[in-house]
Amino acid sequence: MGKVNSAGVVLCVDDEAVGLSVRKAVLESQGYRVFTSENGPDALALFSAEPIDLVVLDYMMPGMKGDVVAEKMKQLKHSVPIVMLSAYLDLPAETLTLVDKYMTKGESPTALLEAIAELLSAKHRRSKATSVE
Amino acid sequence: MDRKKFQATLRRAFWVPFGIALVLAATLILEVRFLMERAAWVEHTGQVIAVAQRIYRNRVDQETGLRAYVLTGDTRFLEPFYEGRRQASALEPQLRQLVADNPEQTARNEDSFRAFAAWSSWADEAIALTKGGEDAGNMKFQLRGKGLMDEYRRTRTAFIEREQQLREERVARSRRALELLNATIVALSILFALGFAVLGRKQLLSLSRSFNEALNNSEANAAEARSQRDWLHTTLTGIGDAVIATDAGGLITLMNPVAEKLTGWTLKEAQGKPLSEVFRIVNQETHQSVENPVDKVRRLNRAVGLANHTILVNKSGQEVAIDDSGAPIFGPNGALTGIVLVFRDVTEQRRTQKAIAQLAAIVEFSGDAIITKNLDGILQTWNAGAERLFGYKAGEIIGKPVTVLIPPDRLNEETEILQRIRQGRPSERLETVRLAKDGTPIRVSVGVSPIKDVEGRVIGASKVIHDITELAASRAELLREKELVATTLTSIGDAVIATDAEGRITFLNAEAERLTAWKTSDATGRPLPEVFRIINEETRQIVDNPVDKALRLGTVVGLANHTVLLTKDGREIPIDDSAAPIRVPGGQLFGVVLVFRDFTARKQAMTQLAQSQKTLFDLVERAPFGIYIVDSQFCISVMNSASQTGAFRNVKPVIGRDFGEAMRILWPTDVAREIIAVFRHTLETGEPYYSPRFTNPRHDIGAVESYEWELHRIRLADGQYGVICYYFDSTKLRQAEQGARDAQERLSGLINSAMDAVISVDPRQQIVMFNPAAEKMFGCAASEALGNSLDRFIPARFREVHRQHIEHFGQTGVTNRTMFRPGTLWGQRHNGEEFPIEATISQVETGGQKLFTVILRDITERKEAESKLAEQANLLELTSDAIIVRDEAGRIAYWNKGAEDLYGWAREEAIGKSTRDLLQTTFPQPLEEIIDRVRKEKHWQGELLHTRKGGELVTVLSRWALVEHEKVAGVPSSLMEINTDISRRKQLEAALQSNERLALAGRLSASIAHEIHNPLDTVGNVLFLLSQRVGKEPGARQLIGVAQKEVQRVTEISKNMLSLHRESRSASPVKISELLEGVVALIEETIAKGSREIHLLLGFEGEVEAFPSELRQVFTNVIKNAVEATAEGGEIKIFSEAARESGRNGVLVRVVDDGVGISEEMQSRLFSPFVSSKEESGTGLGLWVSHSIVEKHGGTIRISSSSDPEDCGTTVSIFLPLEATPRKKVVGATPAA
Repeated sequence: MGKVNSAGVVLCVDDEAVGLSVRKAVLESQGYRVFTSENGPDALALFSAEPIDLVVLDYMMPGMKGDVVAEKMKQLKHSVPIVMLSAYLDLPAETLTLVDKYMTKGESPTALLEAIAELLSAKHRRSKATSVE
Repeated sequence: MDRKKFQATLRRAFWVPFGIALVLAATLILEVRFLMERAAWVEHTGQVIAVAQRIYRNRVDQETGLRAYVLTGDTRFLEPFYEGRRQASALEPQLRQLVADNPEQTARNEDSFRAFAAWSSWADEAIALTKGGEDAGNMKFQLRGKGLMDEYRRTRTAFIEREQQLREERVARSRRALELLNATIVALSILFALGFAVLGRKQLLSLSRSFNEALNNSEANAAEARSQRDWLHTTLTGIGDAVIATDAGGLITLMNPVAEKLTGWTLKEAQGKPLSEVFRIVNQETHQSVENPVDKVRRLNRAVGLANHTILVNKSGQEVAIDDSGAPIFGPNGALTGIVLVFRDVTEQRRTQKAIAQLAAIVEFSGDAIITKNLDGILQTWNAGAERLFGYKAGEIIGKPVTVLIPPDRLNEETEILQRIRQGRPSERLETVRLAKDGTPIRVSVGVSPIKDVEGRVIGASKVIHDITELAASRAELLREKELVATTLTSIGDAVIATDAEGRITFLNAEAERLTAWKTSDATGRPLPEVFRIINEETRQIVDNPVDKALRLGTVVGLANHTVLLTKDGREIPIDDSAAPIRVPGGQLFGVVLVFRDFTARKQAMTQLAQSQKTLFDLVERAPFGIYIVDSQFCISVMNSASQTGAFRNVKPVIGRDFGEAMRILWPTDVAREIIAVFRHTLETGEPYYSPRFTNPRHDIGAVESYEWELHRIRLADGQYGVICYYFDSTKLRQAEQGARDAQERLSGLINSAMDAVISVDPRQQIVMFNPAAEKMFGCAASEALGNSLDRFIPARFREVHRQHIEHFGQTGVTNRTMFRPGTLWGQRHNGEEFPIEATISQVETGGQKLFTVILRDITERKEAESKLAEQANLLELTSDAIIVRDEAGRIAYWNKGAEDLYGWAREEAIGKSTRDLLQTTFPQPLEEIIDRVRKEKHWQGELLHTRKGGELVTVLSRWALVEHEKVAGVPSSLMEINTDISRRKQLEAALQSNERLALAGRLSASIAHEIHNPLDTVGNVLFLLSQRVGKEPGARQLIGVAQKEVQRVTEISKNMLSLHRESRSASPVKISELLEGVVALIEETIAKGSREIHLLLGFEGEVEAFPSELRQVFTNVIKNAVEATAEGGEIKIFSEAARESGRNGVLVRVVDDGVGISEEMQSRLFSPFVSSKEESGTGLGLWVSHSIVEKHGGTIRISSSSDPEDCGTTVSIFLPLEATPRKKVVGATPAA
């Protein structure tokens, strides 16, 4: 668990308000700056407005579903990794190709944190390489 | 007188007027000559009229004579006929010459000659017929003659009238000439008077005298004309017609005796009286006064005929029909001086005409064909009889040659006929053949007579053609009549003796032989008095012999009374009431027939007569056929009881009723009309009538009845004609005939349409009948089979046996029986093929000959059917259904293998028991209702609960059907029950239901799991945060760790469950190794840890396209089976490896256990539902479901097993291709997401 400021900005999207706030707490405990949104359109607005480093996205939401949100996000900022976190085990294959990581809810928070950390470091490496070039 | 002076005076007085007189005289002479010429013309005309009238009178005489001759046959009447002909023929050339200068009158005259020639040839024919003894008096023939004569009268009258008119004109012209002459004479007389005064009287007188002589000459001519008139007067009074002459004022001046007789006035009385008083005429119909001809003549100033239908009312008020009268005017010297009325009593003629007119219509119904032709053989006339006989209409055949009627091979007949005709000879009556329009030959008798013109030249021929078929019939009739007469004479109660004209005996009948004691053979040729000796009873004087008397007088004579006949053997027999009718055919005394009677026997005879009359009456009355008589008034006058109670039963009263009315009661109008017409015809013509088949519906009762009847004209007691009808009600007969015909037709129809072969053979086994079915069966045409031996249809090896069999059968006298036992008889087709037959043989004796009829049935098909039936019976045994047949009492009659298997009761145990008791049936509805339903609808279906022998319950689908045996007497219907064990089906249904429940549960748990994951996630996160917050406090951290671990476990279980039930819409890549691991992990949860080892030996890391949840189900099943088959401590190995099957790459998964193994019998049925080697614990559905899933993926599943204790175990091999080829969309749960 690194320093708070260096950890990065994470956008959490989930219609489950309680789960969302606990997840925010877990991430903030690890030093991430966390934006939350309970629906797709709000999430997209935040995503365009804020310097988001990573998105933790729920799939089954009323209105705009996770796959649509993910697709639009990739169109806006392709480099921002997205972790799809769903209660479902087998999502449609097309959805899975849109996101960088797929995880089921109920796996330990540690696993989620590890996955975020890994994706962010990979992103960081990519951006570094890009800037070097 | 001074000669010189006179001469000078004369010369002076003469030459001057002489010149003038000469001119005038010349004119006068010319005028006088003209006048004389005129007078000659008048005379000429008078002569023409006189000659024409003489001819006419002679012709009328001819007609009268002929008519009398035809009626009486008396040749004396032919005298006037021939005399008339002679005189008229002599006058005819004269007349022709007289009118030669007038073409118009010549034409009329020739017309008249022609008309008479036509009549004359008819008359010749009539004479010929009468001479030949035939009846020329028949109406039709007479009508024709009358028609011809009328034509002659018309033409001749026209000629005379025209001539009379000419005379009037000429007289008028003469008169004018005379007036002119007179005027000239007056003028000349004045001139001569002057000349006379000047020239001297003597010469003038002499001149005047000589001139007067010339004048006198012309008056002499006028006198000649008057004498001609007188002659006419005489003629008129002499012709037998009544003549009345009047003066110009219409006052009677003359009446001849005939007129006196007809009017009832004598000349004396009538003279000076107005004609209208003496000659009162009225119209025949209206009795209105008819305009007096005198007035009419005055008014019209020309000759007039009397109106037709005029009746003269004579002085005493009697009426006389008059006709043919004329009213010529006589106007000598120009003035109307009087009128002569000539009339004739035509009462008789009218009566005849009336009769003729009435009968003319009837004549049209029958008659010969009468045609005429000219010498070239071209047809000139064609009557209705000819139309009927030949079928040609007059319009279409007249003008055609007669040869169209003659068959080509008889044309020479016509040549001969024409030859004879040209010679003026009538042809012999010729019996030959002629052709009708439609070409049918008709046998006819032809008589041909020449037709001559007035000069006797042959101009054509008339033919009378008679249909000979009828003639032949009438000849037979004649013969029969003669026979009848002969029979009558010989059997009659009266004695009859016939003699020839010399009084010699020609015939004696039996009674005459008896009475006279002479035999015919002895008596023949003897004079009558020798045989028929008669004396007066009292005086004993010989009585005048009737034959002599008859011969002498030529009339009928009766015998004197009280006459005694002296017989040959000396006996005396009083005879009585005898008569001696004389036959005078053609006026010639032919002989005598003597009829006499034994007086002693008379009383007896009268009694006999009364008796026989009664018998006759009874005969008629009791006759089984109807007899009745219709009288001249067309009323039914006599009818026997058979008729009254028979055909006429609905006509009451019947006697005295109008026949037409009766017919209309009995028959429909058109039928009645026909019958009435036939009766009328017979009544009027005397032709008998024999009905053809008469079958008609009755008007009164509606039923169809048939009659045969005949009509004869008879003379009834009142002297009038009546018609007697004999009829026979043949309705039943016709019906019976029809019935017999129908039966015959039905029988032959039956035989011809029979499916069975019907073959009849005679005792020599020759085929006499071979029906179409036999033709078909043996492949042999009837024409080929008939008359040949039956052998060819019997296989050689059976022939002898068959022959003996037939012979034996013939001796038994049994009429009908089945041959041999069915199945042992063989037939042989035409092509040699043998086939089994069943045969029935019958024998019948017709005409002393035995006929055997064999009815054969080809039973090839039946035999096949029988074996098929046997097969089916075996099938009944093989079927797993329980088949039970119960009789009406409910006792088991049949119990198949299926029933034994299902219920555990052996056949022997079940038969005769009641199913209800045996199987303790539980019915879903009251048994009565079921039985009721079966009775009504013949079947019932429902589920029943039965108890097996061992006490287990079994649910069956029971189908009941009422088996009605094909109406074989004494065999009651029975009930068939087919029971199918549906316990297993019930289980299957239950399994499917539970499967469905399972699927539903799966879908539910999936969504529940989803709902759980969210809170679990949150709880996990919260615990994570808590563990950070509690810091280093060891107790709390440990507790949080436990909570985290437990949450983790819930998540895992949930995920497993979720993955077990999730379904995919489409196949997706599935990693087989992961899937197997998941399944094994889940199974390991269920089995006691460590009791059995499961080893995963996964050599295939790839993915296959599949439905993971279904594959998971397959592997769960297979692995669970393996676990269950394996004893505790056993080992299960699961292999996976890449493999290739049927040209496709895939993965082969093998599940190998070392369990008990599966029996070979079981192995073959493992993939069927409800098959389980696990006794009662399995559903028997696992492998069945697995098999279908693998197949769905395009894979295969195989099981190999060994139950050998040394090396037991089972291997289940599942091959799945890399790319699945799903055949259908997955049915089942959709993802809840």
